[in-house]
This record gives sequence, structure tokens and C-alpha cells, in this order.
Amino acid sequence: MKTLIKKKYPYQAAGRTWVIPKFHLSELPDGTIAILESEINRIHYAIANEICGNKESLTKEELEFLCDITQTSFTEIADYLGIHRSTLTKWRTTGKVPKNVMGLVLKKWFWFKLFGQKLGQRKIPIAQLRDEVRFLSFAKAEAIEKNLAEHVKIMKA
Amino acid sequence: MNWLEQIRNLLPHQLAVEHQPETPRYSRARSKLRHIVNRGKYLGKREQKERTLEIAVWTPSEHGRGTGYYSCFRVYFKDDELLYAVLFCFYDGTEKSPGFRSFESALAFAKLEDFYGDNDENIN
Repeated sequence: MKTLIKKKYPYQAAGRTWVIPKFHLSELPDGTIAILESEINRIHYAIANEICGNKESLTKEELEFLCDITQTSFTEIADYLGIHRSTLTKWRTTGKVPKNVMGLVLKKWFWFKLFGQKLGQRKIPIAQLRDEVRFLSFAKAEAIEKNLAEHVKIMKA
Repeated sequence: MNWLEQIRNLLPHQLAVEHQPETPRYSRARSKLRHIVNRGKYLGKREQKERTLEIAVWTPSEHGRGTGYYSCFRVYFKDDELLYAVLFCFYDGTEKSPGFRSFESALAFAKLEDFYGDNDENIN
């Protein structure tokens, strides 16, 4: 199978367009150009790391994306947060997860689902644990440094 | 031959999504790929070239309600062994694509698209 490399590729996921530094496409025997699941996973881990590590509120598209790639149901989220499923339905209707501790708790939960096992034994400087925003920013940088995720950026309009 | 079961067993470098123009619908197809394959129900197949055929699959929404996902895969095989599978069509009711809330409605649509299933394959 032949591989084609596209640089700075605009890739849509989680309701945004991301710039992927190196994007790999594969050419199948009949000439079909496709994206392998292994490449999709690589890119989605990078995007998820970026979503979890930034300071923005989670959007409903981001929440759905994180659920998709971690195979997490809304029922599991509701159980984890101790809220009713109808609250999640409301978040989906309004389009935003409230910018409060729940959003941060969710980001941290998803980040650990994706990278926690691989970085589980890593020591964390105590200053990074002072608040959740600081910790998530640190966690994002760690995942990149340990080559578990690539650094990707949101494409500017 | 249960093609959908075989697709479930493919490795990440054997399963793919056809490179489409970037749209939110195909971005969802990529992030839901494993859900589509793991929870999908076989609708039927249609013959293609010598070493490829196409199968249609309907997958209920992961949230249990609303429109499910209608997908088509092209499968590449040699001597009955599956080599690759590529998702090339994904309908979820958005971007003017058809949406199907039930297996039966997806099955009726698949038949119109010339997908036919053998009884022993409709087991997923």
C-alpha cells in the first residue's frame, strides 16, 4: 500500500478544523485513497489531548468526540458526575458544557482514559496540582513530550 | 461468510475511511468508526469486482435514541480472506443525508441500493 503525506493538512473533528503537521493517506490496490484507522487514532489522540488541555469550555461537539474515541456513553458520564441524564441532554441542546468544575472534571476523566495508563507512574511536581486548569495544561504537555500525542493547532479563519 | 464479523477483527492498519472532502459528517464517521463496526447490524451485500464486494450496515445511535448510522464498506479479499475494509458512505440524517431510526427502514433503503443479504448473514 502506498502512503501519501500531506503537510499542514486541515482536518475536521469535534466541530473544528485542526491543522495536522503531517497527515498520512493510503492508496489501496484499486486506487482508492483512504485514511487508515491507525492514522485516525493518532490524529484523534492529538486532538483529544489539545481539547482536554486547553482552558476553553467543552462544546457539545467536543464532548461527543471525546465520548466517541473513548467509547463512553452519556449514561457513564451521568453516573460519573452524579447527575441525571437529562442534564446531559440539556448540555447537548444548549451546545455547551457549563464552564464550571464539571467541565474540568470531565476533561481530566477523558484525559486519564486516553493517556493515564501510559503515564500512570510519572511523578508530578506538586505545583502543577494546585488547580485543575494548571494540571490539565501540564498533562497535555506531558503527553506530547512522551510522544503519546502530537501537538496540533486549531485552524484560524 | 459473515463479512461484518470479519471487519470487526481487522487491525487498525486494515480498516479505513475513504478520503472524502472534509465535512462534519465524514469527520463524525471517522470518530464513530469503531462504534459503527462493533455495534453494526448487517443489511446486505452487493458484488463488485473480482476481489471486492460492498456491504451495507446500520448501527443504532450510541445514545439509544434518534437516527442511527447507515454505512457502506468496500471489502477487499483474497481466497476468502479479508485484507482491508473501507467505509465509503455514511448517512446520519445530517447534511441532507437520509436518516434511519430503525433497522427495518435502513434495510428497505439498502434493498433499493441493490444490497441483498443471505438469511444466514443477518445474524449480527
